Amino acid sequence: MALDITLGQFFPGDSPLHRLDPRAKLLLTLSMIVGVFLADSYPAYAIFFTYVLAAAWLSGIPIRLMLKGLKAVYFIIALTFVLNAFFGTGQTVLVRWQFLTITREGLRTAVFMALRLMLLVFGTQLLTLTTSPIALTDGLERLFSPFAKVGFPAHEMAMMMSIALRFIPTLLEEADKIMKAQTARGADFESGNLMARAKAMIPLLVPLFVSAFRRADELALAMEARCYRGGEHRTRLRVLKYTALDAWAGVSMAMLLTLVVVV
Amino acid sequence: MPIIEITDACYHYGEDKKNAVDGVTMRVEKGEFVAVLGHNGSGKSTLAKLMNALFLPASGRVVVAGLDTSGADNAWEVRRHCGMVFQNPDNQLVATVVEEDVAFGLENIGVPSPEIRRRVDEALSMVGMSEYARHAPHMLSGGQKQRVAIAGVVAMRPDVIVFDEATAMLDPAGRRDVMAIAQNLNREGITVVWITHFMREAALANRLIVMDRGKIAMEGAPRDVFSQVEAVRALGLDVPEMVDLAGQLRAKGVPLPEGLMTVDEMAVELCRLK
Amino acid sequence: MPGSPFQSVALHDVSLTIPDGQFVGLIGHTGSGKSTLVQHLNGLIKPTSGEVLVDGQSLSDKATDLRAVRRKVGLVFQYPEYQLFEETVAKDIAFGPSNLGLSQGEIDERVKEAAALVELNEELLARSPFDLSGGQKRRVAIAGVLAMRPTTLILDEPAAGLDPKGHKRMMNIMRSLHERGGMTLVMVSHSMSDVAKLCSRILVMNKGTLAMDGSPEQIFMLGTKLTEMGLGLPESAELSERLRGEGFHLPPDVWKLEQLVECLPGLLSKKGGTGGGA
Repeated sequence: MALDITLGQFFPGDSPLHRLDPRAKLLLTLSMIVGVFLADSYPAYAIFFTYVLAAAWLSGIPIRLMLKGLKAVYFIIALTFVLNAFFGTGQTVLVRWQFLTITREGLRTAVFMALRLMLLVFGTQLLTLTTSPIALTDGLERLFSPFAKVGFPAHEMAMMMSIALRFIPTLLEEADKIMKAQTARGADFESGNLMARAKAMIPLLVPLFVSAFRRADELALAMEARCYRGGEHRTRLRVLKYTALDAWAGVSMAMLLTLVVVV
Repeated sequence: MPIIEITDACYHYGEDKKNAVDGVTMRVEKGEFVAVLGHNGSGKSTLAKLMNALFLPASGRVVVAGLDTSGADNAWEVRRHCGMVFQNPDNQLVATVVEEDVAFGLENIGVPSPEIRRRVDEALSMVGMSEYARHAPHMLSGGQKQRVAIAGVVAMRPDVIVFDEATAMLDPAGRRDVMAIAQNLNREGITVVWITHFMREAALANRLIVMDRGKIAMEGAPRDVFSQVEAVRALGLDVPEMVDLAGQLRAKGVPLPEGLMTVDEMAVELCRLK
Repeated sequence: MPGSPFQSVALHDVSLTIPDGQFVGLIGHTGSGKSTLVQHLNGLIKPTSGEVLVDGQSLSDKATDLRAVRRKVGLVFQYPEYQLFEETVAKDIAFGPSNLGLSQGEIDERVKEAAALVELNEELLARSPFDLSGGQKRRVAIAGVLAMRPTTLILDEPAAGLDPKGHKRMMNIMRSLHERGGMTLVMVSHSMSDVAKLCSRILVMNKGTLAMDGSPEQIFMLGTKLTEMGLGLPESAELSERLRGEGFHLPPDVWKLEQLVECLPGLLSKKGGTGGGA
């Protein structure tokens, strides 16, 4: 299986969301996360949801894909809701049954927590669905590059992330091959207690690590052969440029946040 | 002026007492297609890395495009003139998208953005991988990966490209593709140094250098080198099948001329003697 | 989708029987299904339809102990040296037998035996596998499978990436495993030359199906079909065909270099000297 791993579930497309500068999207996501915790009323959340759903519609990404992402957190959302509803503090008691108490305040908190989680998941999904991993690393690198002047290794970080993304499928394939080979020699990766299973991982992990180090060595040599000497003075194939679209998105986020705080 | 001039170069790895490259003197003229042949451990890969300043000679000199590789900071300039394609197709591709990888070298040397775009497209077209520009490297076959790697080097417009056993991990189709591209590049004026242990590939070069234990053991046109069957065998290498056949038939009194290497040539000669 | 080692190529209509002790060569272009087929032989992959029987037992049958099958049918992947992990060569070779629950004495014996089968010097047994050369590492990996004492051994391109000397040695090891060890061997390869020299039977895969099945001579007679599939003949076989086309009376089973050296002088001196063409 030539593993087709779409990490971060990037869904290619040409929607306005796809065309936003990745830096803008990162900043918007950050603002959204802040905004989610600022919202403190039902109307505020309603506005928030409208915004996010409108963005989702704009992105052209099928709803079922986005709901799939929520699936993973359904349990956490439900748990949060239940915990806050039954064990939250408050004064106006609505229901009391044995040791369980539901207060109006508790219920309100529970609903808000659940809504927050949903918004967070939805919102960050929009980021990863409309931005390719390489655009994300590029965006992160550019955003952090001012900090490079005070010693923050923005370029190195981005390079590491990009190389990691590049090699994950390759290493996964290799791990698969190693597992099959060791299984052919009678290795058992499945049965046994925790200790036994940990020990059984050695014939898988050692070759994988050795191989990873060898790859790193060879890759470093190949990079140097192509004149790589760190981030200084590098130009880029793709230049990130803010456009009017990013400005509009920024304005819309500012409006959202204002409304959310005020309402 | 030769594009690469190596004078009495020696190199040893770390704590090793023995020299991996032991007093090699050779030159490569512009436009040549030189093959360096040798068994594993003969020093051919080490020699390759001396040519683009990945290794610096412990003694002796390596001069590429007029630059001494040991000179302060020359290494980077040398690598702009002398590119290298490595053996493992995977371990030289650094980016998550093919065209980004081809652009890598250009980004490193600070080529302006629009020019990068142009050269990337040009290089990909040169190796026949244009339709894969936005693909992820791990989805490609070995031969395709090597072609992307070659594009990445070609885009930097070096004077000479060293292919360090670039076909060793490929299947026959991949090997043919890469060899064809190398020959094409040579026709367009790029000097090619082809490191290999496959004599079938070495036979396509203008000039052949055979290495053994860090030294140059034989040198000359492929036909001349291969006709010395015993010597080549003694160096742990093989001669092309037809050379072997011709030698054995000659030993039985069949008057075949020297220098027969291909099936075609052999068939023609045998028919003449029919 | 390209040639990653385990790409899922669909197989269709593959039927074959491999008798004990045969040395079979499996050849085909990348993506022809060789690797997929080979992984069926020890149950790593189960067929979606049809069945695979090893020693009469169906691998799809739930009652079949797959671990026992894998003991009998050893599989060596491409570039197996990347699987070495132990501190010493001996320990790595011992991994397989120790998983079988054998006594230390038995294990040691098997390690020595396996090492000898792959021409591995005994003094290397105490060294770290990571200190060895590529060719030596590969032989250690093969020894690791041989130590399980399989009756059938499948090797995927055992000579891939080896230099001429290493290649020759590997082919010799293959030959002696077959002749002295009496094992059933399946060798997957890209080299028609290798496969023709060692195997009595060649299976040619093309686009997921078995395109040809026969002895080397039988396969070579279908030379044009082979070229269509992107495969070639060994040079000596190509020459033999060429010469036959030009009127040389070479017996049909002649294609090896040694045979040409034997036959050709006779064919030439008979006609040579009679002078120029007509």
